[in-house]
Amino acid sequence: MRLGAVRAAVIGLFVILYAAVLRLQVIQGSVYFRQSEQNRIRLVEEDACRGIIYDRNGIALVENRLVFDVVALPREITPAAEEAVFAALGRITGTDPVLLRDTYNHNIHYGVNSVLLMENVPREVAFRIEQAAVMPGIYVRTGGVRHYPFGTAAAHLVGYVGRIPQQDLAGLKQYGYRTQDIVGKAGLEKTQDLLLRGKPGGMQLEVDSKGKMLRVLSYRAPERGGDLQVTVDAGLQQFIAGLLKDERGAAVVMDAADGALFALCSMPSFEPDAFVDSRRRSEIAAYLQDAASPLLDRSLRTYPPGSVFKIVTGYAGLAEHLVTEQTTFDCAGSLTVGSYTKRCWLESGHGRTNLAQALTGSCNVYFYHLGLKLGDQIIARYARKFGFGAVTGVELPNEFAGVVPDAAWKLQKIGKKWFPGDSLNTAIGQGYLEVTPLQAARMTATIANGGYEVTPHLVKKKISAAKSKKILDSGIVAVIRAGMRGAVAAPNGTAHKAAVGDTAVFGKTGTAQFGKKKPHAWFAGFAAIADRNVCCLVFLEHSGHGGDRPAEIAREIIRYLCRQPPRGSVRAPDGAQGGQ
Amino acid sequence: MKTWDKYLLSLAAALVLCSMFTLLSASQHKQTATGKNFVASQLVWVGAGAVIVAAIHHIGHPSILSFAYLIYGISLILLMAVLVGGSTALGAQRWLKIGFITIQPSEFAKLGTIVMLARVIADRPERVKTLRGFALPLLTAALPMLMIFKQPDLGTSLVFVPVVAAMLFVAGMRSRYFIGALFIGLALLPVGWHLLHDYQKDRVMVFVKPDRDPLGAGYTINQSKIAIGSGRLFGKGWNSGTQNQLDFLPERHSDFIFSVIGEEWGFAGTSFVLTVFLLLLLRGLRIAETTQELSGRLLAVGVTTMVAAHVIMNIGMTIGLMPVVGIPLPLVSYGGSAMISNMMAIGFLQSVQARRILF
Repeated sequence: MRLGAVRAAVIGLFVILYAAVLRLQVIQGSVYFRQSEQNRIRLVEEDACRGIIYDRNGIALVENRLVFDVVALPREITPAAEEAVFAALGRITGTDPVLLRDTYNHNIHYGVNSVLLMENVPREVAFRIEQAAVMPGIYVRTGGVRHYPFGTAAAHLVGYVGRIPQQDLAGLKQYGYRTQDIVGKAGLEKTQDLLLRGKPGGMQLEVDSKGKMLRVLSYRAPERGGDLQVTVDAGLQQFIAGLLKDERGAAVVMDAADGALFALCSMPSFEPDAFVDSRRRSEIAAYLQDAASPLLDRSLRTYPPGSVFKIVTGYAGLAEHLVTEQTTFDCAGSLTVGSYTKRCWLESGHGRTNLAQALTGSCNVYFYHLGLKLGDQIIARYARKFGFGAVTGVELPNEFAGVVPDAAWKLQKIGKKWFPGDSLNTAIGQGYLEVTPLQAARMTATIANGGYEVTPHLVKKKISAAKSKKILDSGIVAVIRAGMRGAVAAPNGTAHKAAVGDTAVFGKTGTAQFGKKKPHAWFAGFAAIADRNVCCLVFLEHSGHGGDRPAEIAREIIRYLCRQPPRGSVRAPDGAQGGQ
Repeated sequence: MKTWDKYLLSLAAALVLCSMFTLLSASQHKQTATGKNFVASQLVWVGAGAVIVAAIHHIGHPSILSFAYLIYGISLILLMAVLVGGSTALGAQRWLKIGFITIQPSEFAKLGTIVMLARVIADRPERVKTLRGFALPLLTAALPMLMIFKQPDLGTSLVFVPVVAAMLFVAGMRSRYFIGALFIGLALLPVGWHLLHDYQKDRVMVFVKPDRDPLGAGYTINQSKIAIGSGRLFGKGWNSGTQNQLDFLPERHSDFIFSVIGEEWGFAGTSFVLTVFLLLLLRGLRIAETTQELSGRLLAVGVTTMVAAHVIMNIGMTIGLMPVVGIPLPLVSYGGSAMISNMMAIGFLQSVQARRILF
């Protein structure tokens, strides 16, 4: 019967239909379900506001400014309408439509919802775009852009933000970072990014086949980033920036008791605002090409410390009982060791000096003798005790650790044997020794507070460490302090330019030979101001004698501090555990 | 004597119910947009269709077959009228305005041709084994088929192929003619391709590569697959299909109504609809089988194959197994002419079933 064949054909074809429907709905069902959700749901992201950074008195070191950005939603711009849309947008904004279209086509990434077309358009333009009815898919997005009111004065300290580089995204994705995100790129903006940056929010919209919004499915408000209060005194910072404005160098002002930084300044500097404004790209290029390297934070870079280091050598001599505070060495202006002669800076010589006198007059010969007795190992050990050769851990990026040389170090790095002359050089802070101004300030603070370890910091820790550790002997510290007081107060003191009226200022100068140019100049000192031991360090590249410009600048800083001692209380930030 | 085939009619009624239920959901958006009540219109046609089923049942297919030449003639005249002065929609001339109603003559021409073929073959049953007896029915079918193809309505004209083949096959045509015709048909395919309109070629090409043009010709098929697939096992629920309600599915009340069923009722819904159709078709073939009289049997085979071709082509198209050729799902898709002609098909089956033992 031929009807049987027809029946078989019908059943056969139906089996195919059943199988196809089963495959579509049951086997591949979830794939198609996801596609149907993607069809109808659009994400419109809303950036979160970054937290504000305040100084110890509540003055904002960085703010958010309201800006208007123009974005395009590719899903709503049909290829046919593209030309008309960009022509209209070009008319309103006064921009070349071809340029806009290029930007648009360059930045469409698969899976990205909106394309940033123009940043920071004027308010009137933003208003006109919102009023224009003929541009589907073009929106104005409001957002915050960073503004740094202190400009060059606190540039290295505060840092700046920028768009996340594509190559860095892979490692950061686990922390919730996305393409086109704004992240901190330097200074506190960088190290405190997790606290400062908020959590972006956004809307899930249901749209129809033409991309028209039907309703809001869900909305998550962006979470504002956490605010941060730092230990810095903005007024002091600005004052110091003014003092240093024509110099190349750095200044550190720190609470000697706990290492809270009142000011941390590096010059020459840059305008952080240039980094957040796409129209100021040429300024960034100029910074990068500038021979004076304004982007460098000199407070965290390493230099030979010169005589400032005699504090360490002197302490080591007493602590190792190689000398007593009465022990004297005779300075005739030079010392001959074996076949070579090392000079003191004072050609006529200092005569017989003990430790305190040697610090006051910065006698090299005294410390040559001490260096010979101590040797490389012991000097290195005490240098590390004072915190040299290791980063301080301050909440700033790119801090250098410096170099504390000894025989093993020299053999490994230079490939040569350690000579007694190397010990002499190290003893007076020359040779291979390299320290950062911040490390030198930390050393000074330890002397100022009577021998307690300090950790330089800008952000108060939530859990304050137990009473800080005593690392130095008070008796020896007192001898060092006497020498430092003499340097400022005694007629033959090298730092007498730092003297301020009836305030007891302690200090040590440093004049470090480096290359053929004028030596690097240091002043490391402290003074008791309003019941607080405030430590002050000034470092100037190739400036000459430490007793000149650095001591003068330190004097001005101390005068300022006497007039306006640091006030205000600093809270630990809520969000993160302070620090990195 | 003239008993109702309750089984057949229940299956048809089940499909009509499915249609109403789905249309309520699928036409919402369009109804708000156009102000037209699709469900009410469809209900009117279902009512008219029911009257026609009863009428055919009472008149009886033998009396109708006696007017076969007239019916066939009228079909050709209507098709001619469409080509001369029909109204155009979606790039095709398929509709004819008669007074205040618009009809789609191709829907009726299919039945007219089936009636004519049943008559021509049954009048001289032995001649079908000769070449002449084979060629005459072919020509009878080719005339309306080409006129429909010219409209252009590729889908409906293609339906003629399995219908004519099944009727001739069941009538006892020689296998070698069948195979010969198959080869001639294959040889003519390139010519046919040449005759296709660009949009038809697009649809075929899109079927071969659906991602070729996802927002253009491939859009419909992609959205339809997404709709059906996203329904998964039990669907998103009545009125809750996002592809349907948010307008992602074009033509969802007519040619793509199966996609709505798939989205809102899932595999449960699609397999139910498929099963009802399969049972209906098997019933149609059973009626043909139990009928001794040749014209009745050919009529039953013809209308059953017609419905089968529609179902397979329509569903095949919504799930991406076939190119998009705009043909409706019988008894389910929205549309007056199709509803009436499918009801007529049910009427013929009912008539043949009721009279099978009289001859």
